Amino acid sequence: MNAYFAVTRFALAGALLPLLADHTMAQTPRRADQGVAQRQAENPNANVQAEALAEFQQRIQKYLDLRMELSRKLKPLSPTPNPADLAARQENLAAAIREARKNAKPGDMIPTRVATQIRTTIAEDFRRRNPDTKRAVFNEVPERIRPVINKTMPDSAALATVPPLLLNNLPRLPDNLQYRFMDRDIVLLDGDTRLIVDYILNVLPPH
Amino acid sequence: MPVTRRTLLSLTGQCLVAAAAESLLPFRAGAQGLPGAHIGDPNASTLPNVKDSIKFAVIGDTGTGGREQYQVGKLLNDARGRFPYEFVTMMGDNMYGGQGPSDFVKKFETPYKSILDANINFYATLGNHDDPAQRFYKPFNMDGKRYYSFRKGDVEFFVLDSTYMAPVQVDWLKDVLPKSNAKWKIPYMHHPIYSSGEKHGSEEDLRTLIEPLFRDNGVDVVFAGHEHFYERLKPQQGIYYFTEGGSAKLREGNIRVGSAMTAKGFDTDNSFMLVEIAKDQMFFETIARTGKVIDSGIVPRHGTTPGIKAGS
Repeated sequence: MNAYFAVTRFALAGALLPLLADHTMAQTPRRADQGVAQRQAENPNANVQAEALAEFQQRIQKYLDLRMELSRKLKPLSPTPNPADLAARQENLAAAIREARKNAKPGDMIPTRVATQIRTTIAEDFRRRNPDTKRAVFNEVPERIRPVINKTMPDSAALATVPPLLLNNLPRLPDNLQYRFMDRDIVLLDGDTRLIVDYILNVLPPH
Repeated sequence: MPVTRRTLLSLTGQCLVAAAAESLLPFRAGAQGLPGAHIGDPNASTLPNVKDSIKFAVIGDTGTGGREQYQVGKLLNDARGRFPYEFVTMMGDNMYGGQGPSDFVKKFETPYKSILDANINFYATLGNHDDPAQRFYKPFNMDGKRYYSFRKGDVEFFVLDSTYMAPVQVDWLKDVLPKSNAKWKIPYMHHPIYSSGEKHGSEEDLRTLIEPLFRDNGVDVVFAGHEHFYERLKPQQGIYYFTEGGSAKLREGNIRVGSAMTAKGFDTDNSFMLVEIAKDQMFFETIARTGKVIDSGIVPRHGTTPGIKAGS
């Protein structure tokens, strides 16, 4: 699961601080102490952020485990020449996930601190974009629909492309979970069932 | 003047103006008079149709289930009579709107029935209108993968999911492109990284990430869709880009007038492409819904100087 997860520079610094401290303290304790103290003073939230990302990672893993367990009980999604069979498998899995997560609410998957980080990353990304690339991002983002957990992304809505350079800076997801834009919101989408797993509202600037 | 890769794309018809501007060599003698050529007229073909070459078709943005898709589908099937292509590449948006079982029938199985019945494989990529679960639909030959590669003789195709280019996919491409020993490496995806479309235009983020990989790993040709027209771009960093997103939908008049990137654009009707790769040359022909050949030419493989000459 670690391979799936982007540890941002910010979080990486936090996660590595204790290791770095252990390693360097053995050689030059006084200087290492000073270095760690200085870094913690510069960025006291680093460890908290790393913990939030780790929490996000655990929640995703839990979701994937649940989906795997439900898939095993059903016919798994696998190549089939029969579109009716494919649709049935997809719907059955979606229904089972819905039932298992019937009490899910916003923020159950994305911890608040990670949501804030995602918000900040998106805002920074949009600040660096020129009007043309901004326009390109908003192209075909479905409008005037609100995300609802456990609902599927409507067929009529295009899966607007999340800019790859932005994806580079967001916490990484396993291959079958995706970030997608919906109006001004970002949703965490199950790529196999099109189920909305979680969302963050109003992350995109008005367009 | 030294013959460089850039100088070797041969063109016909109105493209000759652009060809002259780019110091291109004229097309071979058999292809003279191509404007006005029609499918079914064996003299019209610009494709050498040689034994053991790799022959395929390119369609994009097909899944409307509308009249135009069926008309292009019929032409595509008819083309097999004179050009026995072995497979069809799909540039995404394989299905607009509903993605239920009846949509697969109406928007794919029926319009291409004759081709499917002839056991010709389709290799699809996902577009922004496609349910990612389409990758499990066997006739799309994606084997359950959003991105994948397949090989035909000397040609390896890298089929990308440009609707979601997460780092894991870029890492995959970084791994497989350099490892490939194919003479021709041809990526294709839904979104064009160069485009003169007014509606969408170039996908610059995507370009930043993947163009260096194309450039550094011997990619010669890239196909895409998304824009509902046909465009052949002037070579960009030595790579030839084709957009074929008009095989059912059409965004009429959407190619930016005067775009410096366009080598040939066609946005007044639907179209599809036929392609043949024979040794170090890729021959292509783009055909409108009327049957008229609207573009054709030869792309040389990088590092080769095939020495195409007029009348050869």
